[in-house]
Amino acid sequence: MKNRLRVLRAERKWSQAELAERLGVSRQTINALEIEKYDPSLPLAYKIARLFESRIEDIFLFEEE
Amino acid sequence: MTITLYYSDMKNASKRYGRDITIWITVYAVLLVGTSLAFNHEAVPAAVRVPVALLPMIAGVGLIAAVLRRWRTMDELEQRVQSEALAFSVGLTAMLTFSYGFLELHAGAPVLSYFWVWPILAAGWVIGLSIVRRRYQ
Repeated sequence: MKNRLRVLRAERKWSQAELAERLGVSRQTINALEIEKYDPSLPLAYKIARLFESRIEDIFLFEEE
Repeated sequence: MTITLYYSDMKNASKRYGRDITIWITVYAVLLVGTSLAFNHEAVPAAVRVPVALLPMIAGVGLIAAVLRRWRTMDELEQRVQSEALAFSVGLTAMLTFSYGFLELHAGAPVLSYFWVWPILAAGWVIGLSIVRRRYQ
């Protein structure tokens, strides 16, 4: 799934480790999300959306294959 | 606050896992040495050979509990990586043990101990982890 996580993180000048800490996940999880190799669970997607004060669909773009 | 809590939780979970594993492996080692000595000195009455032989496995219960507790504190990607690695490992172990079983039955391969199952599973888990981790990097 495509997402804007890297852009949103860069806007706030956070490192991957910093974002990981804020979300309570590992840095590896943030990296896997940013390179779009891993789609988050629904609770994590909500946490991300709340952290960036956005809606889930504004951060994650679901494209049917 | 969130940052401190996360680090503190992760650190505590990791520390507790290390402590639990050390305790249960020590229990296993003590029971193993104790039962081995008892059997070597023929000090175990026939009526209790089975329960005494299984005594070291009491530690197995503790080890399973420690692993499950650690599992629940892993983050979601790590849980997925571990699950996929375990699925690979279980499949590999089934394939290897069944293949060897057929070789024992039909090709004269020497009969091996059941103790070999765990090292095969563990090796498969490590191989599985190295394969699966690459998918998410």
